[in-house]
Amino acid sequence: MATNTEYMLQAESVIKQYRQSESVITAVNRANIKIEKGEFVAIIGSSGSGKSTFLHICAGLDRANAGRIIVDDTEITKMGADQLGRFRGENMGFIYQRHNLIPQFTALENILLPTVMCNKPDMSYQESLRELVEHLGLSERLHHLPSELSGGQCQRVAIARALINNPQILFADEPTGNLDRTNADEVLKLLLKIRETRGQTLLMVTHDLAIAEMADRIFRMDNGILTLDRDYKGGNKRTIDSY
Amino acid sequence: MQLRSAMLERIWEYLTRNIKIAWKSVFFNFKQYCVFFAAIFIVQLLYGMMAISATNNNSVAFQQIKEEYDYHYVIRNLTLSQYNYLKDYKNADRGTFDELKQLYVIVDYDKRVNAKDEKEVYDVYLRFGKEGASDTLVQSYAKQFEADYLSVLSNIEGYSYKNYQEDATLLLEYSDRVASNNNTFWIITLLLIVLSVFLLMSIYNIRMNQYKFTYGVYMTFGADFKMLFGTAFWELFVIMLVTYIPAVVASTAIVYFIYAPSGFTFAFSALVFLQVFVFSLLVVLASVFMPMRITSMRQPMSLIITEDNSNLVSSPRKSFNLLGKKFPLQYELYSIWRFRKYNIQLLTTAIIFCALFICGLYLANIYTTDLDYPRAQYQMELDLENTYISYNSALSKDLNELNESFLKEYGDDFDEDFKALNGIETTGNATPTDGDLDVAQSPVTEAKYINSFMLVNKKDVKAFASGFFVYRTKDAYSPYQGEGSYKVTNDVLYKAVDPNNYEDLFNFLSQYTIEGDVEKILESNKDTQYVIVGDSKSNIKTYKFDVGDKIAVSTYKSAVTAVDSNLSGKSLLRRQIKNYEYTYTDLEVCAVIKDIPSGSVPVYMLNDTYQAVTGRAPTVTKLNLYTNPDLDDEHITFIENEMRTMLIEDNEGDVGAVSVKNMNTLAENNIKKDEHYNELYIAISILILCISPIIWFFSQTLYYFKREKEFNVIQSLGANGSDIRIIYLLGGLSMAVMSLIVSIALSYLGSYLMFYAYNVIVPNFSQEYVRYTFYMPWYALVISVIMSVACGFFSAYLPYRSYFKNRYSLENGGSGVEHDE
Repeated sequence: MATNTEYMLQAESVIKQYRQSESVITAVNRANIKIEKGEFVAIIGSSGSGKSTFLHICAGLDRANAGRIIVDDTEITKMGADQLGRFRGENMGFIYQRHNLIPQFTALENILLPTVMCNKPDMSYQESLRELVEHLGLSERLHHLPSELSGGQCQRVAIARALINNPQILFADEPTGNLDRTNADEVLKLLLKIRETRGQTLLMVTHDLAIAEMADRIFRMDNGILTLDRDYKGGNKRTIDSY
Repeated sequence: MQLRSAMLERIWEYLTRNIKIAWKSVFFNFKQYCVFFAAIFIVQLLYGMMAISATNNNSVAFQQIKEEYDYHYVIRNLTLSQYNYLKDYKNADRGTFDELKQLYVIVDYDKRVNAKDEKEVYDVYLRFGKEGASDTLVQSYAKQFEADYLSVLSNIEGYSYKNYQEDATLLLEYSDRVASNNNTFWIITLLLIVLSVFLLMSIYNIRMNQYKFTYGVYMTFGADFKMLFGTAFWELFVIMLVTYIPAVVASTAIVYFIYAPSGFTFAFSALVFLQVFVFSLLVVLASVFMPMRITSMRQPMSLIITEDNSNLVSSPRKSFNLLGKKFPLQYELYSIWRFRKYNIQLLTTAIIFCALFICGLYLANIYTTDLDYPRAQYQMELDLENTYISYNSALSKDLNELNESFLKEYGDDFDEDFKALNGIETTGNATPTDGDLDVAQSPVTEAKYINSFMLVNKKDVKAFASGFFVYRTKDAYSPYQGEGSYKVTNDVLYKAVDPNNYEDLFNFLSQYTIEGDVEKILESNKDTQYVIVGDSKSNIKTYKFDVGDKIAVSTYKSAVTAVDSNLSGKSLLRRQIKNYEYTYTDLEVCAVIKDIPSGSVPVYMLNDTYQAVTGRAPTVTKLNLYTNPDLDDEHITFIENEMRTMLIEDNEGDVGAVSVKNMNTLAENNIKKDEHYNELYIAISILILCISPIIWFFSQTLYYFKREKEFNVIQSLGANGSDIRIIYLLGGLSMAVMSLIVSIALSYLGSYLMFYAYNVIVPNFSQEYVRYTFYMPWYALVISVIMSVACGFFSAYLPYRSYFKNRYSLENGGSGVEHDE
């Protein structure tokens, strides 16, 4: 296993294919990526290009047909379902395009869900919770059900849920795709600020170039093939405030 | 101490925390969990009933036996010296000790005079241990008695043979009965666990299909199998706790009402609470294990994206060309096909409980048949070498005349045509019969045992009957010269009919359905030898015999070439035909017994024919006497005494060579009746039937709820309310029609399997061939079909009502109903 502590995420020759009747569709075709710790990487591409599939595979939410995914020196592609589940809960956070909140749970219960899944001692997440609730402006809405919240509020709850365990790496699949511009801007700013404060790595899929330009590097996914589009590590990237 | 206390505190905290979370989840979604409440309540109720009835069965049996017997052992036909030996505790080594310890007590004795030598003989009734001694102690005393006393009784008189007969009563065998009841109970427990797990797992799987999204989200944030399993388990655990006490109370009440009419003290053990709890716990654990294991192996994304109905569609990637098709008729017919996997799962799961309902009733019927099945009350062994008694027409007449002396004594209580002795069956020089029983009512020889076989015309053997092969003359050393094509088998019992003493046998056979004239066998002569044949093998109809059909049986003469001793079955018979020399006897069927219970087919022939075919003189060594089931203990004792007197005085028999053994059939039947299995099976069947609608409505409600989005879309594309109504009703009707077919098919299959199991498989273990008729309880079938059809229809109709109600309320400014995932 290749180990390099500089990298938070390494994807090597990842292939994902779907069989449909007689034909085989290649959603991800030999994708390679290396993301450093604390780096913000965006993947852009048109709908159906395979960017979400690649993100799911990197986050261990889906299996690749071939290739390796290494998260902070640990190869997750070799893990069994249970081991991967535990690893995901402790080290990764995920934000979906649709908020995917559990409708029966209140906002607070949804936020705390990952702590329950990881059997965290009762008080260890208190500080994280307080900070997230404050930053995301959810203190008035904690005891509301998702059906009683607006789309933006739901997505903020989803962000809090992804961050509550203070994961090392965050995966976001078009996190503002379902929101109007104003709401999207607001939510995104909050997400990026918190991430910056915590120094977390972020891999985000988006089709919004304006958002992608705030990343350290931008990759483009086209018909399953992943290529580096822009590298702002030398400077020139957009700041959160300029967004 | 502190450590233990801390540990207990942690366990308590763990339990309460999990229960609190699960409690909230269950009651927040109470509607969705209703079905689990019902299902778990039913399985707890079923098991509670079984556990309480098991306790009561032991108690009822004990009370019945105590009423019947106050002694453990009876030793018959003892001489005076032998009797005194027992009376005075004359075992040289243990005498004083036994008296103090009270190894046994002589409860009673009967004194008689042996007519042959005019010596006194004694029947002695013994109880082991003091009154109220424990079963274990009684058993150990009985063993000690057999070792210390029984073994030396013959030596006292210097006899080389055993001149007495000892019989243990049901009282001594009570602990064996309890052990046997307990074993049965554990087997039933195991079966109920399997059934309950199947039920709960089916329901849980239906639920899982609807909650994949939630589990997908859980897994995204770190849930593994342990976590998923824990969540599911604690939820069902909470439900189990809620239904636990009501289920135990209800099962106690039901069993009480079943047992109360017997008049015995109702037995209830607090252990039932523990049994039901442990049973429920095991069922709940097992039910969520597999669904959760399978879910945890899946990828979270695949769970999240299959929140819609695509997980129920058999081939979601295969689309139908709907262009030009009639809407909504053909659209919905396609939908039924698209969801065929779901439909098949639902139909089989729901209707299997209807089939089990019918099986339960079948079991009740079998139990009743078994209770009513005629069994001998006495077995009388005639030791022909040591007695002057033989079974002839005179003895037969004497035995039948017992009725007259009985009516003389008890005539006031019975009609004048009452028969105290219902039947006599005889057995004699029986060969080892490889699992077959002596349902033979006459001397019997198994064809296999004497290397013999039977040739039957091909047309007289049913298609696919096992145990036969085609007879080829070219393969035989001494071929049969008859015309036609034959099949050959050695699964045959040759039975002798005494031409001078046949009434008892014919009387016995008359209880079965007979085609032809059994008495024609008496007209056998040199040219035509008649036989009475059965038409079944292993209780299944195998032959198509008609009166006048010809068969041939072979008689082994010599072995021309040796046959490999490792061969068996048909290959052995083939080799015997090839290597052995045979002669053949042609026989003509004069009567066919249609429903006689048997392993191998019986062929009755006159004594001479029997001797010619088997080479053995027919002898009778044992009589089985059937007394009328309406007799009570006093009547039975009277008959027993009359029988002994008759044997001793009228037939100059030596009682030492004739043993009359009470088979306790009457007592056994009384116990069985009071065990109320019949009513229990019916009650359990009804409960099992209740499971079917639970599955129907739960599954269909969720299914149509998921399809509501589809209906909304097609409505937005131009379909009107009437189209949607047709879709719902067509779904309901199609399910009703399919239910009709599947429920009849499964019910028939279930009944046939029960019939086959009890007629063919069970006799191999029980060593008793009872013939059960194929039974399809029409009323149960009607109930089952009506229920399935009604469930199929209404489980679609009610969601349709709800859908339109919600839409109406929405369209009129109401809030509608926001469904939770």
